[in-house]
Amino acid sequence: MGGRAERIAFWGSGAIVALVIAIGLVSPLIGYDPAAAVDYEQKLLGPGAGHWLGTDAQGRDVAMRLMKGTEAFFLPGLMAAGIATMAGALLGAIAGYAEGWGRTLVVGFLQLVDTLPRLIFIILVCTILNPSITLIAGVAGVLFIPSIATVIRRKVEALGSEDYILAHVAHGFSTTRILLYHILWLQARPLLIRQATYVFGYVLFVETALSYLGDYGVQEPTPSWGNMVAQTRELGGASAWPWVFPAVAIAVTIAAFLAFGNLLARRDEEAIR
Amino acid sequence: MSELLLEARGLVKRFRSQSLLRGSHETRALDGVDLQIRVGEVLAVIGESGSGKTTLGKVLLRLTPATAGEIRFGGNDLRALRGKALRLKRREFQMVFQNQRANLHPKMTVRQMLDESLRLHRPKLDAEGRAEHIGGLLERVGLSAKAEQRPESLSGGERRRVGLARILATQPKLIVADEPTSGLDAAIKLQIIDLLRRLKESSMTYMLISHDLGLVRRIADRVVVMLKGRIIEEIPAERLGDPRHHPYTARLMRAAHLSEDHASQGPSVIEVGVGGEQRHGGCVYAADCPVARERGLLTRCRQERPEPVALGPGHWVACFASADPIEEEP
Repeated sequence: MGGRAERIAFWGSGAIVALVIAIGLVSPLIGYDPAAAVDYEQKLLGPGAGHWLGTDAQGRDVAMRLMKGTEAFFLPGLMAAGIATMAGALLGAIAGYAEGWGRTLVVGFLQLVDTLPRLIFIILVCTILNPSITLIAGVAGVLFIPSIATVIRRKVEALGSEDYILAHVAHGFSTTRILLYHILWLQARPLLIRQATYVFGYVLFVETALSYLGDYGVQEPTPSWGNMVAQTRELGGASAWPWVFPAVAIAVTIAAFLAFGNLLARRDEEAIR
Repeated sequence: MSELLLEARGLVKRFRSQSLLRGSHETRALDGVDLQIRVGEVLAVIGESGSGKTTLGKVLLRLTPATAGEIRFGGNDLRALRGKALRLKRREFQMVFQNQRANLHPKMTVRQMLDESLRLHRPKLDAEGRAEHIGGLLERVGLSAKAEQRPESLSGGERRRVGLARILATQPKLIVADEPTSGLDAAIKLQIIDLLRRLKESSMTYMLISHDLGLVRRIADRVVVMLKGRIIEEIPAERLGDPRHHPYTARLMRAAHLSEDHASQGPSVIEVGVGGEQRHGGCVYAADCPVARERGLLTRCRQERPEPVALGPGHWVACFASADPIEEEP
């Protein structure tokens, strides 16, 4: 199902996501010494044979830095997506199903976290703790728990009021199986896919934003797509080559992740119609 | 008489609701219910919506905790069972829910659902054994051609039959069927009734919760009438229409009769609408009872809880005016 344009968008965004994931996985295996890469003779070159995407103001290869720059957000993004979806799904299921103090505690926690404005809270954490990107991603993951939990909770409550859960309890299934398999896996999967890719995209956005702003985030000479773009400030109009590829990479990657998550979820929904 | 399968004594279920404006409010969904179900019989529980029929079914099957009382199932104290022991016991008593969608998973095919049930309840069967069993179940409910379909593409009647097949997969001793024909059109209703009857012949024990008297007449052996959380009458199904009904049952029968006359094919669904709040001391019907008023029993009916009075074999009525037949109103 879905039109031709949607199919193209699905495979196109899927290819970009696959590429980013592949680079993210391979990159740590390749050694890179930022100091050794400096070569002022080669600075500000355009794309060419020796340097496919050109070089920056210190003569470092942009393609290499672009690849190594994925490390700044790849694992943190996965971690945040994992924290947000798993904890969100679990807490949402508890909030939708449990009764008594357990539910009160979970709902209270979710509401408390939900009141925090995400970006402002992250910047606040940065100014107080000056943390690593991993910690920032962890915080971002936690900040997304309530929005995921709320959707899951509504789903569980709706099924509860339709006697769905009760009918399955009556049939002899354990509540763990009903919540984890029947509801979360079989019914809420598209929703979780969408949320996970969204959180990943958000971490990429936060990481590059902080690294661009410079005080927090990834510091030179370690490469990040954010601090690569930040070179515009020193360069003025001298050359666009050092920052145009990372800027495009940020935009394209975030867009591809959001689009792919959305379309994958849609396919998952349609597959069972 | 065959042996007892399920016995309940003194069942009470209270719901408490808190409201800022009105304070704590208590509803008695079950107000001291005694009930027995024998192996192989079909017991119908009738009464209008809100009378506690569904709650009774859920409490009996440990789907809602009882506030007080005793439930024995095949000699076991059901209320004492917990956790895994209870879950394993559940295969022996299954419930067909009124909401037909509740029994079915929207994202699984009929075959997958039956397979899942068999995996759970017949762990010794291998894949081949399960496939064979699924074929048999589908044949029993007449859905052999629909094995690979999902609930969305099934009709209302087909969904009910899948629900039944799923329940039969556990080989239960007791099936509680909550309004198994509600929301179905006449032809499909007949299919379901036919299926229930065939299962009855294979000596299945049922508790049939319904306010469809036509269905009850067709398949029940014994009928109990509920009103506001109490059983007010018990009668063999073939004696429905007896002149010595409880005044409330008499009214139900008249209402059903009227609606049958109006639309001869239409549903004989009873809904007379008893108003007023619950009174715990006296008869639950006192406020609306024409007989109590006529015979000047109102004070007594309001204050004392009537005890069951036997009127014949298997027939009793909880009513102070039951000694004499109740006259038909003109």
